[in-house]
Amino acid sequence: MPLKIPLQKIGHEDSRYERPNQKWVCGHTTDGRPCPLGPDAKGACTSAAQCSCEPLKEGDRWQCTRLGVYGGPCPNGPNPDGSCCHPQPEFNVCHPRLSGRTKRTRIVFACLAFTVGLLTVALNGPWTTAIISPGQLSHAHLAIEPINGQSSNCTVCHNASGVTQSGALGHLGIPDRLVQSENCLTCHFNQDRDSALRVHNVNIDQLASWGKRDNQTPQTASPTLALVAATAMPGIHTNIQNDIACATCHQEHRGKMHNLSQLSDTQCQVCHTTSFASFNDGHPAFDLVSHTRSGIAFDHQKPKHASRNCADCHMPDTAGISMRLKPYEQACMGCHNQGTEDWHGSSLKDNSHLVFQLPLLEVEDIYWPEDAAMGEDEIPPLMRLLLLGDDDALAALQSIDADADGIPAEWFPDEDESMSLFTKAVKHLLDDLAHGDEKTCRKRIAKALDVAPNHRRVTALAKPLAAANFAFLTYQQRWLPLLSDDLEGEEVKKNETQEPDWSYPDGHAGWYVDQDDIAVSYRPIGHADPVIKGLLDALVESESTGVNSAKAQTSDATATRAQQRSMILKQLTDSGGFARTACLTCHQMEAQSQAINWTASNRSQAVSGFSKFNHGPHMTMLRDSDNCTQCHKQPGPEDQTSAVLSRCQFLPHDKATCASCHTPTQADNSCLNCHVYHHQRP
Amino acid sequence: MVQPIRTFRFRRYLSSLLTLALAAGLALLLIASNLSLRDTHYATGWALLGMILFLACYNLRKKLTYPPLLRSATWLQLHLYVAWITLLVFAFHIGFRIPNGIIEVTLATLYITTFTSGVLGIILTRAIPPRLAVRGSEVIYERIPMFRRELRLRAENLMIQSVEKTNATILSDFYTAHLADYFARSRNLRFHLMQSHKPLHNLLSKLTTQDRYLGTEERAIAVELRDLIKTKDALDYHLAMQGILKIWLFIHIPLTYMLIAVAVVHAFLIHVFLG
Repeated sequence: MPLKIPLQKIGHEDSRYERPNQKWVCGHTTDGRPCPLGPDAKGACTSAAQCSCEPLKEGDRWQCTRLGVYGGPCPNGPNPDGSCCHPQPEFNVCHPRLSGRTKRTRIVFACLAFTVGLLTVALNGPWTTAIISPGQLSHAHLAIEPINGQSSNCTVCHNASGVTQSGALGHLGIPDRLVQSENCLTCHFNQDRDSALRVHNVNIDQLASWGKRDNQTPQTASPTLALVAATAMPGIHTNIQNDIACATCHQEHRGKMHNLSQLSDTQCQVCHTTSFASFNDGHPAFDLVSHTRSGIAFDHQKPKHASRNCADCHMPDTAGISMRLKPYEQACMGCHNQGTEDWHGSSLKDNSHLVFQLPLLEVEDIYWPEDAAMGEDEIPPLMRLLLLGDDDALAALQSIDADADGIPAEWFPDEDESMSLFTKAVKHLLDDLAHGDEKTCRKRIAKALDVAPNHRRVTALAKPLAAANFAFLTYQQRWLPLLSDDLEGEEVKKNETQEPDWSYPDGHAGWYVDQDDIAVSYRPIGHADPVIKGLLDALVESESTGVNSAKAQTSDATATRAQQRSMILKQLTDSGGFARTACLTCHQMEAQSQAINWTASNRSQAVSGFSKFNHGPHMTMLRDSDNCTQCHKQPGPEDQTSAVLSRCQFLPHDKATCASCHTPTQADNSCLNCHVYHHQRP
Repeated sequence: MVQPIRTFRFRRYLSSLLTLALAAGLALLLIASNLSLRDTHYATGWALLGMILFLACYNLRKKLTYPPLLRSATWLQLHLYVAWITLLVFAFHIGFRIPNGIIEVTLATLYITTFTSGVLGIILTRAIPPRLAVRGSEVIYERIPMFRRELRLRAENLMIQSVEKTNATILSDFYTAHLADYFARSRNLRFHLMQSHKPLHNLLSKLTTQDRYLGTEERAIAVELRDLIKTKDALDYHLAMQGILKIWLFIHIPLTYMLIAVAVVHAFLIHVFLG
């Protein structure tokens, strides 16, 4: 309803000029009687000044010039001398008040000061870590989370030393997550750090080859606008030359239940542009057997194997995710028992590993019994390795004629000095093994492997060798009884031996003196024999570290020992070698890394690279009449020549079987349901 | 040459359209960046802080008389539409989820509160002026106490005249009992905020019930008194509604500066720990 009485008067004398931006207002404002000018800038009342005037002289009289808004000319008029009479102020003296705007400004400053104070307290106290933490870590990293009363653990992942310490400002700058990723690698990707930050953790050449394969089979796709834009962007991971920071995908501090590895299908499709719309629409058929690669070579088609039930050898792991092989004792030993029907043969000799044997050399004036020197072939691997721990032996091994083709009589065609050196080194070795203790063995093996004497690989070999001194002592007493005199420089008869009045074990495992070959041999005591495994592991590890540290080899001797160790490994693992026959038939050796798959599954690398499978939910779907062959189909006669058979002799999985359930509505069909990003398990 | 007439509505449509187009482009860019696994938090964070600083500059601009950096009305339009863009950037910055950390939660709460107070302010500045327009002429907020005093004096004079002219105290007694306090200070602000006329109707009803006891002259004075009551009611309405228009800034502006303070600390911590 409109006002009948107009309040706002218009006119320069009636309508005052408001100054809401001034700091102070008249104290009489609330009474409705503010003075026209208001307080001064310092908040002092100006009513007295407002009522004063500068009198004007008209003729012989002084006139008051006070303005109308201040009450007009005062009744008394100026003083006789022309000064203002300073009449009683028209407006009572007031206590000026802050204007609304000034109050607001003060509230702003108060709030700001409160906030800054609160932040200062928050960032300087034992509670700082809890306050600046952007959130709880995920389950996987909860161990890093600082517990009450403990100091900050932020530096485990972050390079900053904390805001409460002096180093914080030193870390200011443009954030580089790749630098932070180095901290992730402290715990993750211990196997292959070089490719840890690469796209899919594989080297560029391999990735490029996969890219070509992808491009060769373009599929139909219906990209969204965002996907088209994302594909067009110069992405950090679309360029395979770039390293990718872990935090690109793994966003931390999002709570205990946060899924660190969550990726959407569209994010996969930014790179995999020529792929397909979904699993059900255009996903290629499985041309590889996607189960985890087994480290054990096993032919499922072999009649004796094919007649067994799957559950005889396989069982689900504790989480039910993957099917594992049962231990050797449960799955294999029933048939492949040591010394009966195993790969090692049935006799003691066929199962034995020659350890020490005197080579058949043509020697003169050297204590080297000809009837005991039966070695007509290469130096036994373990004996050669032990000789590497002796510098004289190393020099002699180097002087062996490369064209001798393994025949000892031709090893030293001209150099009597080298032969003398060699025979002496061999006798020293025998003396060490027969009379020395574990320390002696440890010292020799450590030198041979170029590692510290307390290295675990040294221990694995030194302990059993030291315990086997009875066999070497027996050998020495029987075939080289005057070894001590010879080594001390006394002249002894060349072929002096003792009668075989001792006995040796027959049909037993372990160290023994072989009377037929006149050697000390070792027969593995069973599956996973520690001596043989220790020898192979030492050589394999030495081979891998030797290659990597080739530049670091400081002396010729070290390089020579590395070459000799490679030769020993080759001798053991080549066709006909002891390890090839005894171990590597089942425990296959990786072609590139030469690592031996001692266990059934190498979980660090899947054969299909980027696939995963959880057996648990699938097994609960099996009906009574179903079995493993529902998915793991064995080939029929027509498939025997098919190139698509896996090395375990199974046909590739049928995509239609999976796609029948894995639809967008029935079961999850996203990329990450079956695929993993990391080619190498972090 | 005829100048095209750009109405307020046309300008609003045009600005909204441009803002929507910009927001759509920005959203597409951020979605695409997220899809290509680019880290957008850093960029969106700084963009957000920059935009918030720009929005805060509007308050400073209003205080500056020189240099003439666009008109205040233009600043207000930019303030409004950039604020809507910040909402989009904020949503992408926090990843469309509730933050976990104490500082992050505080920061998000401050932003949301500031944004909400801003939206509330826009609604109020759009809704209140038309309501004020129908309740009388323009009244300057700072002059309301003066007008209230003027009305009180007029009412008191009226009552004195009434007694002098009629020798009756019915109206003056009524004034003393029911209207003295009503004219002395602002009343019924709560009812005005609820757009309720109930107190006014009650007061006028009471005055009407006195009619039977009034003579002819007194009735004429009562009619004048009725107008004064209505004018005072309108004045109180102005006080309540204009007060709301001023009070929301007491929330919005302090929150803005608190937000900036926490955001600066947040950015500092990000630079210290990210990398």
